[in-house]
Amino acid sequence: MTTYLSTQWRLVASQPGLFATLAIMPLYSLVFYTTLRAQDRPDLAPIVALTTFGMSMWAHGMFVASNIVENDRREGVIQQGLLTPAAYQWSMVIRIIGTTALSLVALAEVVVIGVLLGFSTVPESVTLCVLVAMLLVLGTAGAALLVSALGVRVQAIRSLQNALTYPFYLLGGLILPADWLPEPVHWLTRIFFLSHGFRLLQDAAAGHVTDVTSRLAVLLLLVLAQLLVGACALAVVLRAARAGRVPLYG
Amino acid sequence: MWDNHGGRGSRVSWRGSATLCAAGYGVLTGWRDYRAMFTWQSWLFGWLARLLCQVLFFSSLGVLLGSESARAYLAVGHAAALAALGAFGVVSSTVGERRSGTLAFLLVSDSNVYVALAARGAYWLVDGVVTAAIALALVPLAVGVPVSGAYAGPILLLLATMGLAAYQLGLALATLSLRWPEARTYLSAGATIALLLFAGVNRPVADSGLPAAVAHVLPVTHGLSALRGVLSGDGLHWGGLLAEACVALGWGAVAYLSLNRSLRHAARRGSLAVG
Amino acid sequence: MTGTGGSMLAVRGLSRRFESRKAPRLALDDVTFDVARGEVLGLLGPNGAGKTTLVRIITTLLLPTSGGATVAGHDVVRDARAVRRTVGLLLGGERGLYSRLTARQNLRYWAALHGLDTRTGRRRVTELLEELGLSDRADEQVRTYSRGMLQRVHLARALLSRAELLIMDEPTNGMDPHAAAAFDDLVRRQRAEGTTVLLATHDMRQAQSLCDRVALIDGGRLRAIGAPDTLLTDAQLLRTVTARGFRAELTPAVRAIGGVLVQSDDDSELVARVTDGAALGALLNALVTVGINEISVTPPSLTELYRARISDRDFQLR
Repeated sequence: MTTYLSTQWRLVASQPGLFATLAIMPLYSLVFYTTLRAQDRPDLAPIVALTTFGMSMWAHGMFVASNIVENDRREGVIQQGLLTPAAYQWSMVIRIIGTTALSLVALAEVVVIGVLLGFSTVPESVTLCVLVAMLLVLGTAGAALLVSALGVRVQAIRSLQNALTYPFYLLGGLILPADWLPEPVHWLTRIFFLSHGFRLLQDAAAGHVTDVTSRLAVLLLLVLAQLLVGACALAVVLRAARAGRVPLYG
Repeated sequence: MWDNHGGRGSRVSWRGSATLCAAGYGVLTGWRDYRAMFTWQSWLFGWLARLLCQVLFFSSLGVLLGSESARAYLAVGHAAALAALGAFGVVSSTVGERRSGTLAFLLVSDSNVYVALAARGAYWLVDGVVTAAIALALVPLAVGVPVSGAYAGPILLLLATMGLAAYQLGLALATLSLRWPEARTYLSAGATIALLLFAGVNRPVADSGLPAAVAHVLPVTHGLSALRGVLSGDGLHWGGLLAEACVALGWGAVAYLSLNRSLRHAARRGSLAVG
Repeated sequence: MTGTGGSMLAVRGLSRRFESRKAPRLALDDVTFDVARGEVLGLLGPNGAGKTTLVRIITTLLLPTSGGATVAGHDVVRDARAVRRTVGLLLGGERGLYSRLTARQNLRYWAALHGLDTRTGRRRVTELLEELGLSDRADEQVRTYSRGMLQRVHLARALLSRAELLIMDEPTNGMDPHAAAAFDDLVRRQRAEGTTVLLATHDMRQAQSLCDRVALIDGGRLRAIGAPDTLLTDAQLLRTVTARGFRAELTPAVRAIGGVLVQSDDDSELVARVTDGAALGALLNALVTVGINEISVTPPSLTELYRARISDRDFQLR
């Protein structure tokens, strides 16, 4: 098992490009912070710090999913992987969850950038914030698994990954609460772990959270459901590939 | 331009028509790549929808700020900036030239690498200008600050110039992405963040100091300022348009030299593996 | 540096070192040779021998560390542009073309990049498509092509500007035997038209059938150069005798013949190497005398020369 995990880590570490979003996205906080300074609204700094964390986490998850699938496809590893019963699926799951989990670093990055620029960005309830952020990262990994399954299926994974960022930032309520969105999409925001969790994260950062236990429980359920959907979708697509119903060559 | 071709028998002479032909076929090959990337459905509901959401997302910062003017400022700034951000696509797509093994033949052909690559990636320029124009027509409308159709001419002119300036910067950065393909994401994202920080997209351009100096040599700064002038009914500020065109020329010269000289030299020194 | 007499390619003391902190590597070490106009020279050597480095220097894609080369009298460092107009490059493999364009569109694009104006380019492309048997599928995307067809498009591109020196690096890599043989015919046709060819290959069969001379390169150094027959004679490689219907009890008598080395023998077949004509005559005589008539004598091939002169690093068992 150790060899298996260390191989997965080496596969990830050998692609420095996989960490590009983690290096880049937190820099968007500079754009937000300088806008707040120009508008003289330093009080909004904790919100935009979390916005940037959310963008980094989600973009990283989507990027990781598409990059891993694209690389495996290019190097012909997918078809080789299919010869190993079930192991390839686990390899994907471990790599995607493991790499997406690294996006937690972005939370610290945006807080530190804010502090360095003289903003008060340290959350009121650090423990709760970290706990919620961890759940959000897991949920994002679940979404990334779903995207990887789509990537194996449709091939045009890059365009797909690109299209799955900003619409989900809006849906997840990364700047404004999701209920600011048009009425017809409200039902989606209610079952989307990111919309639910981000509200909780913002409240935890502001230090006024009510119904912590029940909100955490709902978030946990939504995150587990997302992970399950992602893993099942990947299993189904890989099974279809093994049966020859999905073309694996470009 | 030469007429002393060493090839046996044909004595082919270099003419402008060959350059035009190379550029034309370059545009065609690029267009095929673009068509392979998108269907009309994925372009409309994937790519364009994503870009419109991007402008809406940044505009919503204005709602958070509780300022109508900030909302309008952000909506216009981010919609217009799409012309440049689209053009930066050339930083990544050019890497494909190395991946597909065509870079070696491009260098051996002794053609003008700048012309070849600029033509190959031209679809990004068109994509940027078209999506920016659509975003400028739709997003400000959605956030309650509609743009009058009467300004369409000057707006398109300004968007095209901003896109062109950004495209030249993108081509200059493409020299680096060809040498270090892993850096392509960092390069285009770095350029994007620089624009958002300094070019007057999110907040007014700095008056003095290093940020002001950086802003003046960046694409978008002058064009966007002129565009805001047009939208406020002041008419087209030709100075702004000219300044943006000068930025395009400047970055064009950098791109020309870096692609035709640095790239070839890097390959010949052995620091760029081709073929 | 100037070209030598009638030589199309003159390489003099060429060295190329790749600097790297971990492991600096001397890819080419003091290589000198000439290729005459109209000649086909084969470059043979294992992976990493320096063939591709040599090809890249001659095509101006890489600078030498020391020494130099001229193509049709043009220096590859100082007159790079003139050299580029004189050489045509063909690399093996599937890369190097725009896969979503048709063969015609690819070639017209490359014709334009080689400086041919629209009309000349169009005419030349049509000629080459016809000549290389690609006309029927010229308007299909090249990603639908077989490896053999792709290589013909590659060859067409290399011939677009009527190159005087055609440089090919592993052109038949991965081709099936029919496609490879057809490709060899195309090269022969180019040679008949006077084109000089530098062919880097692993394919000994191809080298032996196409090349006027071959050069063996290993570890960046030129180990041998000459006409295949001359090299084989000089190397004093042994001929192989194979006799069917052999009987094991005859082995001691065969072993007793001077200059005969028995490689394998069993109840049905003898394989032996002979050092000279006398030994061959004695062996044949002995075999015929005992009623064995199904005998073949195989002269040494380039493969044997290669194996004799080039060390086998990749597959050495420790």
